Amino acid sequence: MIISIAIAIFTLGILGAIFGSILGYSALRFKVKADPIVEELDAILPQTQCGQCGYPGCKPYAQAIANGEDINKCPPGGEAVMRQLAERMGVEPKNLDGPEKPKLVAFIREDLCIGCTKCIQACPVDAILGATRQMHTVISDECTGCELCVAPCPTDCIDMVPIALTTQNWQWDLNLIPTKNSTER
Amino acid sequence: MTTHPINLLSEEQLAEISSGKHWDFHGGIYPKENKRQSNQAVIKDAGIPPFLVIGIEHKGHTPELLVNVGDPVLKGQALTKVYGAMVAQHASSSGVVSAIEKRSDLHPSGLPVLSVVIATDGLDRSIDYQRCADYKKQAHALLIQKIQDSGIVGLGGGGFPSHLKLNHPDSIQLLIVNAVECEPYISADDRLMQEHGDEIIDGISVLEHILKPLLTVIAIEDNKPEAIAAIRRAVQKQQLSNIVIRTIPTRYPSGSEKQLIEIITGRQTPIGKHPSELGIVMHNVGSVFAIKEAILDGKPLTSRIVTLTGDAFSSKGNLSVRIGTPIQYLLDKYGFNNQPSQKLIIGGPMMGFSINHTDIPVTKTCNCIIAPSPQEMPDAPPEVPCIRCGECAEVCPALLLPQQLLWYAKSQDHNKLAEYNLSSCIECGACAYVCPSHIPLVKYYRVAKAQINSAEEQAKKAEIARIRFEQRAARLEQAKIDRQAKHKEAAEKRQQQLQATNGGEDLIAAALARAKAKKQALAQDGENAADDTKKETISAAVARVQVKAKKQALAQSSESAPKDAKKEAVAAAIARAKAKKQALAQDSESPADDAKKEAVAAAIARAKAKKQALAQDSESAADNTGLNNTEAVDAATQIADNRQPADDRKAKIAAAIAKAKAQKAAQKDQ
Repeated sequence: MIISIAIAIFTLGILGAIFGSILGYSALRFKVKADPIVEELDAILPQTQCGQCGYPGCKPYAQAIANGEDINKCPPGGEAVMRQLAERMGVEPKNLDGPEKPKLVAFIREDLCIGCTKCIQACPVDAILGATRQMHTVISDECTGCELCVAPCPTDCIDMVPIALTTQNWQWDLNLIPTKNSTER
Repeated sequence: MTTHPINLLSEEQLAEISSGKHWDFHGGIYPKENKRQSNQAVIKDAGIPPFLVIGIEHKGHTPELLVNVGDPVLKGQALTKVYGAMVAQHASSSGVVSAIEKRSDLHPSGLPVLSVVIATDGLDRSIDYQRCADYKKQAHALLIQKIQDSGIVGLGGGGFPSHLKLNHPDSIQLLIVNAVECEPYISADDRLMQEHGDEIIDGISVLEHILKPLLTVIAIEDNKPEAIAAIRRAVQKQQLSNIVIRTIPTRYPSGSEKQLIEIITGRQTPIGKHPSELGIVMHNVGSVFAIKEAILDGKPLTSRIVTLTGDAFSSKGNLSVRIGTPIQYLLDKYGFNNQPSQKLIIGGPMMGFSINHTDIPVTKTCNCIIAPSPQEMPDAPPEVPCIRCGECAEVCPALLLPQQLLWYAKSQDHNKLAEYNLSSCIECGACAYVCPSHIPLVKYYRVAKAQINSAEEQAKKAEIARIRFEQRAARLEQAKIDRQAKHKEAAEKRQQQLQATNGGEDLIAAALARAKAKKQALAQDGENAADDTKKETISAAVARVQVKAKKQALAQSSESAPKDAKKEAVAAAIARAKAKKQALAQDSESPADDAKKEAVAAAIARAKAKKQALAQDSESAADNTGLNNTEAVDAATQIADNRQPADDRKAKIAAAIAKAKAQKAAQKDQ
């Protein structure tokens, strides 16, 4: 009787030690260093770096979402980004916190620019080119439309203009395409 | 474009191909051909329109222009330089450049692109064409360059620059000349082969010289017997042994590149691979003719053959049209009977697109203009829901599942669309043709493809923005570190200098200490004296300001020259901006303003009370300490009483601290 109890305790003890060491080893060996969800969320965000969410850039907002912040604070991303974030985080989609605007780019009116470089300092993606007392200009391909350069301008010479429609970004209109007019006699 | 051949054809396969065997592709349809309306008459010259509109912008890129407004131009003169892989554009008749502006392009959107407008003079004078009979002695690179300079693109409708398909020496085994022309109505290639068989064979010789293929196949549908006969005669005349004419059964879309390769070789082109990776190059027969003209005759591509057909035209047929000819000019000249709700289709009825207005020029890819009568092409019946009959999957030449694609296109599921290989869809329209529910499937695919493209574009831009943002942050951080290091270094240097010059004594610190002592003495001296000095300084400052104002007024009155307009505008703009900002600030701050001010005032009062208490602590004048402390406490309590409820707690805490301090001081004294 005593012997069988002793054998049972001994066996279970040995098993516990083995599994414990395996678990301990794998905890060290397969340790996840950073939280990959932040990277994933950051990849969904539109990278305008506009700060409309209240965070200084898209990555900090991604970090905040990972820590439980609301998913509806990105107006540039619009409905689509909000839905993707909701799906990734496994939460219910919410209405956007602010109106959804069409994509814009900044445009500097040359005749009013005094070359103060304030907008250059404000641009989060270095999309404004210029030097002190020289006319500045926006590299429109790099502009994310964050509007951060509009407020610092002392002469109010930066406008946000809609992106011009070209044959490159034009979308097919379902009402304009004839496909089924191949009726033969 | 350097490609690594992955799947070269073996000798046996080539032998099989040349022996006359041909294969089959999946699906396909048999629409009525409707080619007889246009393929009976010889090709006519469409004439010189009063003006030509030649689009020079391509996919958002504008090449360098070689002409200015007002310049005279000759036919065949280059208007643009070659830009990247883009081909050059040429004037297609002589005249004067009347404008360089945005004009509607031959594109389903009808959006304007930068174009050169030429007012023609009707003389059609051309540049001196440099004929070249012995091209075989020239280097391949030069010939390819010449083809690019001559502006030759795929004339079958794709518009892919032809020279790019010639950059594969050594690895090409099979050259296929695509003369299938499987779309209904179009007969441009048919007529071209009937009338210019010899020139086409010359063009093939040029391509064979550049590419050195082991075998050349000319693929023609069996509904063009005259064209087949003409080409056969031309091949026999030149006694070329390695050219095979392959007659293939008429079926739509056998003229599509990948489907034709499957018919000729029995090989499918893998997804995402270029046929050149299989050792195959395909050129449209129209492009072959243009290459012959460019290399042998030195003529750049300035015109193309366009089929004018449809019952709304009183005279139908094929025309040699100068590139840039307005479509309205052709309609006027060929008896276009305009009716309300008249459709105009560019390209074939299966893959073409309709245009809304006729102020659009003919481009290099425009192979057909169809103006159907309402009886000929009635409006499609309304779309009804998919019944999942699977007819579309039966006819799909790309072996896709159109009904699944429709499902995912409607729900905008881009991942699923990619999984079902939407990108392999050639938009041939066979699925829509057989659909019993009249669903315009290709419409949905085109919309989905455009959406996927723009989503990819945005993702790419977002990635670039992210990188730029991170690099900027890193740069600013580095600049901050550098600045701090510099300041530290400068401070250390100053210290060293001081020690060297003054024998270790810090003069500044000493001076500061002296000044402090003096101030303290003054403060103790009495406040009324300070008051007077203050008043004096203020009056002096006021006087100074007055003098300055006077001076300014004088300066202004003496300044008789008119002010710079720009400066004024800038000043006005600054004023506007300031006003705007102020308004904004007031808007947002006004509710919070009062509370904030009060809080600040309270904080100042607290700080003062604390300082006073401390000062008296350190003075430790035993007899009046108690009194002073009580004063401080009183002041603190008073402040606390006056405070708004929001600040009450803080004030009370401050008062409590002051009281505690006073008590402590009193204890110490005792």
